[in-house]
Amino acid sequence: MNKPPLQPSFPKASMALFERAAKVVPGGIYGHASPALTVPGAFPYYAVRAEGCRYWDADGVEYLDFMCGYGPIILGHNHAGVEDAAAHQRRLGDCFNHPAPVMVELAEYMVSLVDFADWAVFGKNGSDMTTWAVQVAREFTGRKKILKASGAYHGKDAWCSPGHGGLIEEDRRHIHNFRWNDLDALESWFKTHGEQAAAVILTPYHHPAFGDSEMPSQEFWPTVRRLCDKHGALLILDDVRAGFRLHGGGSHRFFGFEPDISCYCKAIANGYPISAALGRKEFKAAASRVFLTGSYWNGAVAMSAALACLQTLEKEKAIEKMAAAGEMLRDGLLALASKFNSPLVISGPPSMPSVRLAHDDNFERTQEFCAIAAREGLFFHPHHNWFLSVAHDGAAITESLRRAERAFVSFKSTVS
Amino acid sequence: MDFCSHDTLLARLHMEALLPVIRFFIEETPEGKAVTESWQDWHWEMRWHVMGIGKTTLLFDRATVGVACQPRRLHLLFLSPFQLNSIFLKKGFSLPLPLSGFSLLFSHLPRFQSLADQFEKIMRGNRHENAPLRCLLAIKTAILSAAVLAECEQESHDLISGCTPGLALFKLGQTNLGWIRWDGRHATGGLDTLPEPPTVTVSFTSTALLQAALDGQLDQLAAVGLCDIQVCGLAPLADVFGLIMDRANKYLQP
Repeated sequence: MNKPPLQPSFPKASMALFERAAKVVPGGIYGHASPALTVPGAFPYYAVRAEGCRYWDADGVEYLDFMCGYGPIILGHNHAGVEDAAAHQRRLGDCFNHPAPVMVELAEYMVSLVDFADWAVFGKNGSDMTTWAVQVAREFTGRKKILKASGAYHGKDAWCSPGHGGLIEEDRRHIHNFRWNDLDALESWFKTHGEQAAAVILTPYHHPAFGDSEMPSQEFWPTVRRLCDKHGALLILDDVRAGFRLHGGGSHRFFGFEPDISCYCKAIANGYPISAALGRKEFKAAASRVFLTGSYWNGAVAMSAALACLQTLEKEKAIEKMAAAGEMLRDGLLALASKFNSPLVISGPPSMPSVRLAHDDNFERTQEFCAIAAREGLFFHPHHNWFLSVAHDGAAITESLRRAERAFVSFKSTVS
Repeated sequence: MDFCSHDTLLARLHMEALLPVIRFFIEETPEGKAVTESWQDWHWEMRWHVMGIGKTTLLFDRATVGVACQPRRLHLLFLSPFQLNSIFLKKGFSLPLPLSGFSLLFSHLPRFQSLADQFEKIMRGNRHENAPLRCLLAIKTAILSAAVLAECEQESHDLISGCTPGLALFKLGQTNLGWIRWDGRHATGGLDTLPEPPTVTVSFTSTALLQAALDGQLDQLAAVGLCDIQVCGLAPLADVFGLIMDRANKYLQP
């Protein structure tokens, strides 16, 4: 038995690197970037450079990027304004014995952006913030139980990791799940556990991997807020993925509710490593008691990049641009799908669409389509929501749709 | 949900995972056929019936077309899972009640035991001897065990209960090894015809790779990235079934 032949256009340099990596790196590539989570043998494994909404893999093949580094790239790769700010700070220094003044500036700016927030703290990754926010809720309430939505991703820490290795039963003893939008289940959980509830942690809408995105029902957020208030539990918004992509003041504004603490990461520094949690003044004392640090968490370069990025988002009306580009992409893809009689299901906000073929609950045909799209230079993920950036302008979307049409032609011939 | 006691779980593993693989062993492999070649009576069946669990039947039949008679039946009743397990684990004295085929008890039960001994010898023997066969038998046992564990063991049920329903098919090259199906409430498994198209297919490209996976020595993510294992469809379901399959070792030591 032999391996199936790789697709003719498969980037050979990617595989050569991966073969080396597999010997010295567990998994070869681990985490969300693992080839195992895409279509191995059909997708690129390594990237060498990027510009705007395009990147080039280890073989020099160009892709129109609809994952944007799985979210962080919001202004486009290598954005001049952000790079200049980062370079300026890098010349001054990055990792000091103390925070740089830019930390205060960034905290003030974020607090001014996010209406309910009175304070901000910074980390490096989304997990840093969601885990810390859960600790703050426990510190404030003196309670243990946390409620989250089934299938929601809140990071890689033991209480929420989607993986199974290395976990012990106790890690999740006080972590409970309910089905997104199931308000009866939510009410019922509070009835049973309300007195022990430290927090409910939720993403602004449900965007599970291997599933369609699901928007909150009209009653969802008011009910969550009411129950948290009634039972003295904190409402933590995990806005790591969607933050500043739906609304310039945070996704809670898009959906019309107020959390107690919100966590941000991906979009705030256009690819520089930084995350943030913002909260109300009632929780500031508790927040000050929960230890928070890391070797690079005061890194000034990322903070400078974040400040420049957030200011640019506001200045450039980024949300509107990304939404318009997303709508253009969605409408174009749906038209192509109709033309080729391969209906698509597109869910979630236009700037972060989840796309799959209809009648394909196990994603197998979607995987085939995305593998073909990769050959056409489109990085379409088969089972994760996509991301658009400000760099996805009309010309880029038009070009993407042209490539997508070629992918549909090939896909159709494969199916028939 | 009520989960099984250790004895009941083990008995179900013996009945629903091990016995069907022994059936595969004698029907489909030269080594298994060799064990049974010396048998005179080749038209009989053995029914294992454990109170509170159910029945599993092994049919030994090399009858040619035209032989219409009913097979002779040795129908054994075990009063408890413990009694059945004692036979498989060879612990203590255990004599089941023969509900039918009493005359076969002392002639045919030892035949089965010699067959089981040969099976065990392959499974526990030198890992370099009969490696492909042992690997095949082990993966089939693990697949069927996973269905039992998902039904009966809390840890496994907790793992599968968050999964989207579907059927995972495991293959070695183009050969089907077996399947597990989760319908959202119950798990079933089989070695033969699929009851529905697979939701996810996991194909190993070599026996060595499969053996490494069974031994817990395989970097599975890397193997998938290298296309040594191909996963097509709803990967998380296969991932969870893989974790449950690993748990079978806790009960059925290879």
